Amino acid sequence: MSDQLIVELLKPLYWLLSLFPFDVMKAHFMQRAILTMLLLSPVCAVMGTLVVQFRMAFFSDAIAHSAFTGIALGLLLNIDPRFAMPIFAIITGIMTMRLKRAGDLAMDTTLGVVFSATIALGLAIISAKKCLAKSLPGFLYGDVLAISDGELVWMLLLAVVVWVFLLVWYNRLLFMSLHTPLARVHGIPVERLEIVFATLLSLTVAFSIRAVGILLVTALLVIPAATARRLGRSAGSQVWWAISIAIFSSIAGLATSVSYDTAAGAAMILWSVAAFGISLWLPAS
Amino acid sequence: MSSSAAVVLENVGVTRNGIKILYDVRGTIERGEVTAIIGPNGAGKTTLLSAILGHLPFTGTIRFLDSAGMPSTPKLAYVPQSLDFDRGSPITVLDFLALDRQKLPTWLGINSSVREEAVIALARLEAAHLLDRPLGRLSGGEIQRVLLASALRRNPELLLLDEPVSGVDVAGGHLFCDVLEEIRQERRLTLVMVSHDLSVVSEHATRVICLNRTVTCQGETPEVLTPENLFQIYGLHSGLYEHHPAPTVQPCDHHHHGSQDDKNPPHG
Repeated sequence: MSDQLIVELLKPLYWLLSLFPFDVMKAHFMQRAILTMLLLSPVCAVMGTLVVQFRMAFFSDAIAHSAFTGIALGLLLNIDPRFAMPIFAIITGIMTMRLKRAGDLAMDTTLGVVFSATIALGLAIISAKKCLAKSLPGFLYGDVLAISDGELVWMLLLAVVVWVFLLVWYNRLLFMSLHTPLARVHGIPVERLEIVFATLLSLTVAFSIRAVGILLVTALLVIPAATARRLGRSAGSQVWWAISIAIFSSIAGLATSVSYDTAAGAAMILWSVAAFGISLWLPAS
Repeated sequence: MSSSAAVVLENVGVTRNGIKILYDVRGTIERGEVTAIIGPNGAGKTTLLSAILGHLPFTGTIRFLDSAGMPSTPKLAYVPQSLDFDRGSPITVLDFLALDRQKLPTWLGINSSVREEAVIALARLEAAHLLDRPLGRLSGGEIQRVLLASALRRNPELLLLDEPVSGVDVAGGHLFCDVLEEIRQERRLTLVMVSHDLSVVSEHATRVICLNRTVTCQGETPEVLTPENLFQIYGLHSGLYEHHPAPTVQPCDHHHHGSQDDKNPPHG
């Protein structure tokens, strides 16, 4: 994508942010970080409601860790890790779903195998090529404050694709989560939908790594949804609560990170954990 | 009542991981009747239901016929025993009934027509008050009523029920059968239920297929539910049944019974 096009695409978004009266928002890196989180966190929140419903938290964790191997492979084969990582994540996601279906193993056992296999491969590569290890911390902890305009456009594309998918398929996915054979009787293409969902979830996880790091990606998906599960009074309100909590904790986290110089990803997750804590303390709806 | 076959099972077999779960299953499910599939635990009842639904690979043939006896693909509906989900989830009954009726995500609103339809479907089962309740807070019987409402809304020709009214309170069980019976007569619906509850079967089914990995006997309920057959199927458990007078064939005739017989096998 040409730099000119990227600049044009992002101009209206930057203009919107410049309307805020905070000095820190004038900094370009901060504007990019805020835009990234405004694009990413609602997508993660809504996908997260499905992850919670399908009990797939461990799946997203396994995908996140497989990204580590994707990066190592990318560095080894001289492919930009920002490309190698999402591709490897998708391959791992699809492979896991296929393995689960072909065998008669439980999902968590299948994931245990895939998880260890990818990590072992990643560690083997990194330990053999010590020079690669330098590039890893950025992916382990993420760095939303260092995102480039080019990456921001990719985030925008991901957000559009996932939102379109959710608008068309959310109801049927939720129905499927309640009783898969019943969903089949009701004409939902269960097998294909499962694969597409796993693919988009893997992609979402891979993109989120840039923002919050491998170790905290699952939190970005699961914590707003888990909090909303206690606050919402219907499937619909759960989604809006999840989105609100995700946006609030992202912005609060960025502000905290700037004020106290903590890692942005960690600060964002801590705010959402705080929201989760409050939801536990409130009486269940 | 003149009847014709709605489903014909020929030599149906299911093998999973090298274990024969079903073999040589032959039988017919008659149109407009209530056919109960009974048998001990592990007899393959639910597996046979899944095979009829086309959810697992099987050998042999399962043919669906229309009233003229020609091959057809009937509209199926299915009432599972329960839902398998996170009990703490805030999904409401209305959400559940909307999920397969509108593509617009429920978080962008539920169409008023979908809402009305849900209210009507629930009202039929005296469950309209459940509309805004979370699914996780419903009792087993209430969930089955919601599942039946969802199934009936599809206007099925063939309705398959997995263990209906099992673990359901007596009043709920009665209502469930009353409505099923009304709708069956109204629409000439063909019903297939898997059940291990002989009191439900003797009261509500017109035909019975006894299954123990293969069909051991089948026919009209009073012919099949004899002490000899039951002894063969259930062994010692049949003792409970022997003392019962002739099985009541008339479905959902419980207005004449004491309500407590509905849940436990009758003792005569």
